[in-house]
Amino acid sequence: MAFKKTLLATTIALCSATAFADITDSTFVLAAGDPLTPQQWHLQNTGQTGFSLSSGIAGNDLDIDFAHLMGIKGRGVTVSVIDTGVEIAHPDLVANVVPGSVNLGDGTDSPTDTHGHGTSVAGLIAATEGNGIGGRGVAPLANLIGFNFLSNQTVSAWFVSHGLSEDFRQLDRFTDPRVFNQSYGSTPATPQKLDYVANPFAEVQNLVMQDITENSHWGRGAVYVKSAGNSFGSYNAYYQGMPILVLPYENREFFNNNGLPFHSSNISADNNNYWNLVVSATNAEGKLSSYSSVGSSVFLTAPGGEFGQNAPAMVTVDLMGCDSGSNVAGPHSNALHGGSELDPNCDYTGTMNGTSSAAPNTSGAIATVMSANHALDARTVRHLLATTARKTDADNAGVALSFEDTTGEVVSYDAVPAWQTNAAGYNFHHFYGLGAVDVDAAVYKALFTGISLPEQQITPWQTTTADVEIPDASLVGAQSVISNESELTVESVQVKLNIDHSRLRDLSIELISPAGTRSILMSARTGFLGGNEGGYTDAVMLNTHFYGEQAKGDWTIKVLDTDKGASYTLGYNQQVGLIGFNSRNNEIAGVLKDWSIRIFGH
Amino acid sequence: MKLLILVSSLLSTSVLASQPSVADLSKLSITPVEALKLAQKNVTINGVVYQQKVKPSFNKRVLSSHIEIPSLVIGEVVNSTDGFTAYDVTGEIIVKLAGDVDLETFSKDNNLTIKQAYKDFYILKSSDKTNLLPVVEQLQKLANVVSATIDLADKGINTH
Repeated sequence: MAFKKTLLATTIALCSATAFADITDSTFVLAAGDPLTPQQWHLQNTGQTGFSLSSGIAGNDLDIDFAHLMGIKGRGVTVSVIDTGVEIAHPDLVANVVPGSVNLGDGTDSPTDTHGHGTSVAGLIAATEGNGIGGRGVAPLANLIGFNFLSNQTVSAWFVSHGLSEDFRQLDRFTDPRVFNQSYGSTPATPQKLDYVANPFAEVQNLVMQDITENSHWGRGAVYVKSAGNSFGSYNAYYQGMPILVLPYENREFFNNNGLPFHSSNISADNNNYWNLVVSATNAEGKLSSYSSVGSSVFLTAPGGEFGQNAPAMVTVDLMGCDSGSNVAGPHSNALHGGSELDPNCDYTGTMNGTSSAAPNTSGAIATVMSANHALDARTVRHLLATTARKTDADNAGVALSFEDTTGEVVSYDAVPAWQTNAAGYNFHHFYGLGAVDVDAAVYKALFTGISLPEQQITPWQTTTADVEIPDASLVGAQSVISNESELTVESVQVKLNIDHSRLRDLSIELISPAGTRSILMSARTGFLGGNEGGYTDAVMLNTHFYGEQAKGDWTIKVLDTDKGASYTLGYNQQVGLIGFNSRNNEIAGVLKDWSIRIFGH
Repeated sequence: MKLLILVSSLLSTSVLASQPSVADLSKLSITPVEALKLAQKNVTINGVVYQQKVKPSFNKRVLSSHIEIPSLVIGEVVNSTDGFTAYDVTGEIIVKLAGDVDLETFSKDNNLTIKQAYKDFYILKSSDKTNLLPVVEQLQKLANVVSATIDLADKGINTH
């Protein structure tokens, strides 16, 4: 009865001209039928604990209640889970699994998951609703296919899992993916050079992703969703084939990076690729998850949670049984785990987290928006998510970095600004991109507004030589300008850089638009272990912060050196101990040699 | 075994719930990176120099004590010369074409299979321990082959 009353209220509200804010800001009770859903704070945050020791803050969720009340839940949209595999026989997934999965190891249609990560990811996207077990996905009526790519990382496996079927047919069936979820990535210790001659795989990846994004499904296209990474405070890398944990060290303090991100989502080629929609992670308080990588390539943010022990993580599907996956027999500080009354067979977990979770939550959101209006093309869906994203952690002050400059004076630098508003009216933040995913607001626009973006244009790279010295430990920095003549409305901007410098962790790189919007491309104290060919060589960075601005005019790059050698980067290996990198300041000043820019827009 | 456990703990989980404590780290001394040069030899792959573990001298590829034929086979691991990136040799070769090439015959003659194709790109795979370096050299000499490169998968790609 309560459900009927809310539905009636919604219907009446829909008839009102001012319905938009009322409906999308209201909270409708989620339908019952899944015993773990009341703890799935990312779907509807009521301040629950998610079986952890503390609770979140109500309202910090994906805002799906209106969409679900309307029955808009991803039906007819297939999401590809490119991961460790998917346990497709799991009772909370099997009903949504459609043909198309591939075991990339043996060629069968069973993408075996012995790890559990991909299965949890699949559950976040489209665990079945109303079946009396477990929880539900963001898009519980969406279709799922899976690939065990992470244990089979070859070029041909990448092709198959990212949409290029082995029989070369068009992706045009309902069971073909319109959303590709990639909860994986790397944390390079050096900048990555864009070089299609030496690395044709990068070229073909770009071609495939552009082709499928633009042309699949009769031109409606698809969206590739990518996790930003989990390396805010430290990251994993190799040195001479030996795994190391890389961490900052300053003022004789381990893990001290002055509050700045130690790794950036703008380093790996996957994360600065325009065709990937990159997401960072928030916790149940609506703040950045403690581990989440950030950077100007982040387009949106979505729930990823904390660790499920002291603070809520995700409640989602786990490998079946108490001897596999994250939830195994025995005591655990997450109350769901260990064969609890709600989950005696350990088929679910309360500790899934990471931008690995933010990505599938976004993929589920995209599937939901697509299912609200199947005619929308993929780029328009991105646009709807951008226009409806909301400020989360609105009071976040950013990070002011104090450092002793070359004259000995302590100066303050706005290293990560607080929330800003660009000239087109879009809010943005280095941590959160254009903001938190708001499913209801995007669905409403998909249903009731006619949006059709003009055809996308991508300008050629425009290059200028700078040859400007970067003064050591100084706010002065090196500056260079490119005058852009294209009269486009910006969707994204890519920059390619050549900088000589022997301590890249000292550098902050800013990009300033013709309208005067300042954005950090690479924050100071990013923990590089070295440069490529002496610094940044043909290193690409993506920026989403100028969304909606006009591209024509002067684009300014500014590179500042913020350290005269006070900080280290350390590597830790259990057998070797601590390894010191970057232990001496650069002896000669760096040089901004040249840079290029290209605009994605309309 | 300990190293294996460390590799597993460092690289197989999406987010580290625990890491070495500050107290543990404080007990350790810092070794300058310059002091950690491991025994490796150079191998040129796709025109770029990488480092490869030194193999035992009884290896069949060693023709004399002074001459060793460079070799690279599926399953090997190589490192970038700066040591910061490790790669698996997947056994696949990416071939970019500018026109017709009889890759089927070439593949048959060299114990390769054609795995995938997209536009001008073909993916060939070695199914055994064939030395990929001379195979790629042969491919590069064929008319209408723009490039032939050995696929190296970044070992750092993992769950997020």
